[in-house]
Amino acid sequence: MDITLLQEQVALGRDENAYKRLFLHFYKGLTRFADTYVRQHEVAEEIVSDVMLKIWTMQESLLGVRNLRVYLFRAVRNGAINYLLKSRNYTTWDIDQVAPDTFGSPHTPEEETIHRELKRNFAEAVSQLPPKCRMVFKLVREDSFTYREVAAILDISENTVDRHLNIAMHRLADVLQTYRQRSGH
Amino acid sequence: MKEERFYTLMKRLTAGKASEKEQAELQQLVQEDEQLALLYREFFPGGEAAEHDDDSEALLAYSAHYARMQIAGLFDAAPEPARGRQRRMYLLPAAACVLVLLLAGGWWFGLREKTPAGREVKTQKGARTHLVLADGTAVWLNANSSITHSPGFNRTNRELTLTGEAYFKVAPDADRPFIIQAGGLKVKVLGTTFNIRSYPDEPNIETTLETGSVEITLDDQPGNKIQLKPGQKLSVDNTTSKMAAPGIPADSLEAPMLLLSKMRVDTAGNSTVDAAWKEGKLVFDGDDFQRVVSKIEKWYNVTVVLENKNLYTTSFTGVFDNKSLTTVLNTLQETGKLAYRLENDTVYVR
Repeated sequence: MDITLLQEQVALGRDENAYKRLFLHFYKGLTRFADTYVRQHEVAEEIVSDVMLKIWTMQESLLGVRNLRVYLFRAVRNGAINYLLKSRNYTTWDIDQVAPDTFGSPHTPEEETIHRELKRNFAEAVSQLPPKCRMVFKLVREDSFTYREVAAILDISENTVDRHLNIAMHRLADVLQTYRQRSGH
Repeated sequence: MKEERFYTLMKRLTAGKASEKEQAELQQLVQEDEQLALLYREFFPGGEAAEHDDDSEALLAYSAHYARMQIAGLFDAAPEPARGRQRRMYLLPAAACVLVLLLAGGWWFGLREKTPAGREVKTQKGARTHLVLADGTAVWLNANSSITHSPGFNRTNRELTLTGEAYFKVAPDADRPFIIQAGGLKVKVLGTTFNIRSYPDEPNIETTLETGSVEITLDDQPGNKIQLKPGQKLSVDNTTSKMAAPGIPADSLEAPMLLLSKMRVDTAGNSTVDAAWKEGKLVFDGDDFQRVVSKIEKWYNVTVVLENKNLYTTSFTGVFDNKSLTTVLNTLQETGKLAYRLENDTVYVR
C-alpha cells in the first residue's frame, strides 16, 4: 500500500475512498496503541477517530507530513495523554509509568512446544521490564518502528530508545543463559 | 563465541544499523539454534500475517467514523454509489436535518425478543395514545406501537424499549439518564423532546430531536456516540441484511454501512414534521410510496395492496389534519399518479 500516494489523494483530491483506505490501514495499530494508555477500548476508539478526523481537516497541509504513520502514532499518544490528564487520574509524571500489559505472542512453528518453558520465561521477563522500556519494546516489536521513529513518537531521544532496548535485550539474554545452564548446555 | 556474536548483531539490527551481510549472518545463527530463534522472535515476531487476519473491526469503526465526518459536515452528503431511494432524498431542500442509514438487517429483530418482562403499553393499528410515566415523562404512542419497561423503572433506572413510533417529553433528571432501546440502537436522553420511529416492517429507524439533546449509540458500536442537535434527524437503515460479518474484505464494502443525507424539516410550524402525528396530522414528507402505504396502513388500520410496482419510485408530500381515509385516498388519486378502490378494509392501488 502506497501511503504517500493515498496521503496526496486525500490532501489534494479530497478523495474519500483513499481516506477510507488510510483509516482501515492504520486503525488497528492506532487503537491498540491508544489502548495501552487509556485502557478503555471505547476511549481509545474515540481518540483514533479524533486523530483521523483531524488529518482530513488538514487539507493540503497534510502533504507536509513526512511520515504519516509516525505522525498518527504521535498524535494518538498526545490525544491519549490529554485524555488521561483531563480525567485527572494521572499527573504528568504518571504518564511515564504507562505501558502495555500484554504482548501478542510471536508466531513460532512446532518447535515452540519443545521450548514452552523458555517462551514462558521470556514473556515473564518482558512483562517485568520497566514501563517505558516496555513501551519502546512494544513499538519496535509489534509495530516495527525504527529507533528514530520510536523516539519521535514517544518524545524521547534516540539514545534513550537504544538504552531501553538494551535493557530488554540483557534481560532476555539472562533468561536464556539461566535456562541453558539448567538444562545442562 | 556464537552467542556473543548473536547479541552484537541483534543490537545492530534493532538499531537499524545492520548491513545486509550482518543480517544474513544473524539469520544463519538463528537457524542453527532454536533457542536463539525464540529470543530473536521476541524482538521480531515476524511477518504481517497477524495484521491481516480480520478487517471487520476497522470497517465497523469506519462506518461510525464516516457518520461522524458527515455530521460534522466534512464529507459530502452524497456518497458515490447512492441507491435510488437515497438519491431522491438529496434532492430535497437542504435543512438542519441529518439522516444516517445503517445497512444492517436482521440483527434488530433478534434484539426485540430479548425485551425483559415488565409493564407494556400497546396501541393497535388505527389508534394512538398518550400517557405519563412514573417519572413524569410524557409519551405519545403512535399506531401499532408499544413501549415496555422493567418493574424497576423509576426506581433503579429509567430504561425502556420501544417498538413503533413515539414522541417523548422527558422529565429532566440529571442523575438518572433516560434510555430508550429501539431496534439496534440506544437513545440516551439528556432532558428533551423528540420523536422515534422504529417499526420492524420499515427500513429505517429514525430519531428526530426537537429540543434538548440526545445521544445515540448503535448496539454493535458501543464506543461511537452520535449526538443530535435540535432539528436534526438520524435515520438508521435496516434494508440490507449484510451486517459487517467477519471476513468481508474491505473492497466489498464500497457502500458505507452508515450514510448521511439531508432531510426536510418543518419550516413553518413549531413542531417538526415527524412529530405532527401526535396532533392528529398524517404527514407525507417526500415519502416514497412504500412508506406512504406503511403510514396509511397503521394510521387507518387497513391493508393496502399495491398493484402497480411503478408507484414505488413515486414520492408524495402532504399534510392531512384529522382527515378520513377516503379523503386521503381521494387526494392521492387527484395527483393523477394512481387510482384506488376500497373493499372492506383493503385498499387496492393501481
